[in-house]
Amino acid sequence: MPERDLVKTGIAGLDAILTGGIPRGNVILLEGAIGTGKTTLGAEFVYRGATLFDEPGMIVLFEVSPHKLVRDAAQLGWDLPALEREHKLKIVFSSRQAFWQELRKADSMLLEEAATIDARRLFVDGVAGVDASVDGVDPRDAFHALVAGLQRENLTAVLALEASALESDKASGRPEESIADTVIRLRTEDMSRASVRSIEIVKSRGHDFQMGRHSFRIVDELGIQVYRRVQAPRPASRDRAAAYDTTTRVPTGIPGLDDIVNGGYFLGSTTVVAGISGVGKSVMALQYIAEGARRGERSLMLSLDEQVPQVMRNAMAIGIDLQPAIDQGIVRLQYDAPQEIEVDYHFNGIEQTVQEFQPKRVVLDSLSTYGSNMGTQGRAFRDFFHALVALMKEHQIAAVYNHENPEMLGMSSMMGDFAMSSLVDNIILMNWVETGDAFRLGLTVAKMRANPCSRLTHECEILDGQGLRVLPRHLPVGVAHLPFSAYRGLISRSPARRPPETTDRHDEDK
Amino acid sequence: MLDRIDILENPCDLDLLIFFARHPLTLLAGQQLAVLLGYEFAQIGASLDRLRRGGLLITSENQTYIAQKYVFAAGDQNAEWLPDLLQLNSTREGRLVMIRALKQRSAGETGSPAKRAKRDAAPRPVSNKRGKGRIR
Repeated sequence: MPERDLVKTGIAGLDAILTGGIPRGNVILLEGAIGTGKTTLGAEFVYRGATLFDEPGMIVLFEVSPHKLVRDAAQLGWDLPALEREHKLKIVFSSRQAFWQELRKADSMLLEEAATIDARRLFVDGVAGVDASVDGVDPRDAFHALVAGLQRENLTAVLALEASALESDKASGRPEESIADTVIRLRTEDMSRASVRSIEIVKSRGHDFQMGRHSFRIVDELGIQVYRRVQAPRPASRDRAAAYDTTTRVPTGIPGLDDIVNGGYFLGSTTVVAGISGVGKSVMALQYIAEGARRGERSLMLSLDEQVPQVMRNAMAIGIDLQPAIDQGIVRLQYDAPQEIEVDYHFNGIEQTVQEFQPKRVVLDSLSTYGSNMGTQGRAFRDFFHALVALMKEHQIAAVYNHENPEMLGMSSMMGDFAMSSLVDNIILMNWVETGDAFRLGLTVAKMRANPCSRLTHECEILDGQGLRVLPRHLPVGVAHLPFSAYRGLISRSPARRPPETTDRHDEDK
Repeated sequence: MLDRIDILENPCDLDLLIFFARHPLTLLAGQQLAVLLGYEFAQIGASLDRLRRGGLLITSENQTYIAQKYVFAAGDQNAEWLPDLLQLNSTREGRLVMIRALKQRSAGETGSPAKRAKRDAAPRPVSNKRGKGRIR
């Protein structure tokens, strides 16, 4: 099969969605309402072509003054005048009427101008008005004439079309849409009280592409950054890696816990620690990260609930100083504000960090914060979590997710509204157990995929300067209260004493 | 400054020069230029000729087209004063000073009462002060 001649846009993230680029010579219709980013995308297409792929280009403007385009481009880090001086770019100001009359001529001055720099790319900003037929020519014929002119010159052209009626999912039915080879649609979409930008490849002749609405941002000094939608199919390598390592275990660093989890979590496994706020999930997370640092394993903690200085302070309170490991580049703490999370952008950030840092351990604190942002009833959260689990498995990371279960005493379901248990390999339940007039902390390994699991409830304690430890089932002589092995129904809401003679028989963990 | 710029004779010349400085490669019909800048077509034609003769503008030769290509050709050699001119015109005060000076120059060059009367009768850009705005 001959190698295909694809034009890479050079726009961050967009070529991945276009599975490599757009077939050379395609006429690309770029649709969107006012302010959706058409001019920026079109200009970047030409700019990247000239700077990254040695493909000179031309920009035709009808409304935006060239000096304003140059000014705005400078804000994005693009030096357009320099490209003009190097004869890699021409910016032409015209009127639509002149443009359409021009391109219908075989010896078009505009295309001749493009030929003087051997232009391979063209961006025309605002072809709206074509339908107001020029000189009585049918709009469809006028657009055909334009396409023919572009094809003669072997130009790959982006034609921006202002389309205010794109609120619905339906195509506008304009003749340009059927004639163009590629249709890209930009939108600004409401998300609660915020707005997010989205980009959709509606059609593209001659190659495969990833459908659906992906997110994008326009970032100073960088230009357009496209974030593939989190639900989009990932590379096959991600699925192949989903079968996790069945031999290597990652110790938890929590005294007493490794004995219960058969020596640690498997590489590539997904562990959820569920419990109400204050039971010690974040403490366990810090110990897990500290154990990684002690072993020289790169460890990453992603926090949505607490900022990094607060996490550091919490760690110090349990005797963990993460600063040396951070300085050595073994540990990384990352905070992301939970307000109005743009899921594609957020996931892309995690993906980039994982690919670059290559951690062995990751803690995410906490899943419930995502749930409260995305909602737990729709698909958004589930799709996000699916993608996250697949990413961690691909990179063979032993990932731990904290999850705040709203129930204070006992649990009626392992993950509350988050119907994700089937995706998770290990589930550790942290519970308050009320005996007498005291709350005691219980830990139960409720699920451990591909491992024996006793599901006994163990008492835990958190000691100042030492962190959390899991106590033996039989407490040493002299301890004031009875061990958990003396009770039944600990994680129901009414634990009861066992008859003394049955204690040992029921205690498989003795 | 005008001492250094002998090519400009009237406000239309100035506006056209600034337009081409901001739109260095333009494909338009002369009539569209007139509408964009708010002058009569004849004024625009005369100013285009002046800029062309002064070597500040290159236009396409093919007269069969309605639209013409205009390439701004001012550089360090023939218009070292351009950055100062643009700077001065970036404020309202500066622009008014330039226009006043150009009007004086124009009056000085065409100083006979008859010529002045003819010139005054010619259409001019509508003043913003009257709240009507210029045709853009």
